[in-house]
Amino acid sequence: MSEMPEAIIAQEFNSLPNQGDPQVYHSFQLYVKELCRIADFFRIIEKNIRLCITRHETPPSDGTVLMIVLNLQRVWKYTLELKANTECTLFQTLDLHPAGTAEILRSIMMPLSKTFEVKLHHISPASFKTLGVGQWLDDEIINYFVEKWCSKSQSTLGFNTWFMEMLCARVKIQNGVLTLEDSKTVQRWCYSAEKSQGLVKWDCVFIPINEFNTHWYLALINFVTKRIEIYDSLAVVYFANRRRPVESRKNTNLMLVLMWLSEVLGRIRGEEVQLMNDFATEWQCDPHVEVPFQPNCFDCGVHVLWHLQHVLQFGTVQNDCVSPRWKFSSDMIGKRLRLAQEILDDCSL
Amino acid sequence: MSEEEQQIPPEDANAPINVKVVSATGDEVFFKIKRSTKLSKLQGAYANKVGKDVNSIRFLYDGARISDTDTPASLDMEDNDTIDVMVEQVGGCVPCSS
Repeated sequence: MSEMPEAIIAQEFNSLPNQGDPQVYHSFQLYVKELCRIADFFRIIEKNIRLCITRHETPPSDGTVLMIVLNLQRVWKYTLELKANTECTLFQTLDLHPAGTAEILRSIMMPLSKTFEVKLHHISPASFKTLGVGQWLDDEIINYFVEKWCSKSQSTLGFNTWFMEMLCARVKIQNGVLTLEDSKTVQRWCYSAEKSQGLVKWDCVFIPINEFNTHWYLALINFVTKRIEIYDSLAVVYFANRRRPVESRKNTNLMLVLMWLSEVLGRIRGEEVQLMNDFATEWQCDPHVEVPFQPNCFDCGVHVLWHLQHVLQFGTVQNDCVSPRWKFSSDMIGKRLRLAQEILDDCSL
Repeated sequence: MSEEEQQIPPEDANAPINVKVVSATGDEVFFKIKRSTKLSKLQGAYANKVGKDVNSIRFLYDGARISDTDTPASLDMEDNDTIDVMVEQVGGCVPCSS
């Protein structure tokens, strides 16, 4: 027991080969799940021992119990570290071997019918398949992750993909005017999102946007940094926009809707946000933040979800992030596999 | 007070309410539906009426997705409430010409 407890764990888990191969992938998956299980196990033992100590009037004085608790803590931390490192190795491998990763993705998507007997929210096999190689993501997939991830965030509220569509449709029908009635609608949608995500307070609002049923991008309103930003993974749009005069830029009208929305959401938060008619406002709007661009014509939905990952992790998109867990890759196939795996894991619960 | 409150539900429980289904383009379709009827029935009827596959459209009440087992009663809907209907969305990129 006096030898390094980490060594015992390390002995049991030798490192796995780096290849994009379904067999190796499944070994990795099992390995990570086993590490999770072991980590939980250590945590429970440690908690139980602590509980026992508090119930004993005179704990043993030779320090054995204390040493056991400390060792358990060490092993627990080490197991988590090992799990994180293993995941990073896996994620890096997936990004390095896109062809192998595509094969794995195809293989995990094959035996679908059984898994989806239990319907996960509204994700049907057809929706799930939009995570497949080269496919366009659908609304159900985006909404599933937005709701799930924001629920865990404590501070970021995620609207669904229909929110902006509804609002922009109103703008169009009403000839560019948004009314008090519309702000009441926003309020109701906002409460629904708060309820489904279990959020009482939020500082940031994530809004996925669908354009002409062909493209995904997003807007982010941050009430702490007082910024409204639009992230679009299409390089063409970004560069073309920068060259144009403000009034003919792609997102100018959208930004006006977002400014109105920020005022409405500000009132819901109980603070006065004045943007529209206040030239001295502290708020800043960036209609085309520079983000990693998609080099293809199918990954924008995955980019939108990855932007959300960054927002939740770092508060903003980090273009130069190097951690294999978060970094953008030129081909997002590894991310598609991770998203598909996350849904499959959620299904089996 | 409490006696009065208790008397209302039995009468109200199955009284039909009017529900307006509104598409993103502003088209409205009206339905009369019992408070205990599953909204999946209304969804099917609407899809039929507009000639769309029910799996390609999404029904929302106050922005929250309506699930197959929901009823007007379970969602606390009132007479003349609105259900938004949205069409399935996909995206990958926009044509380079724009």
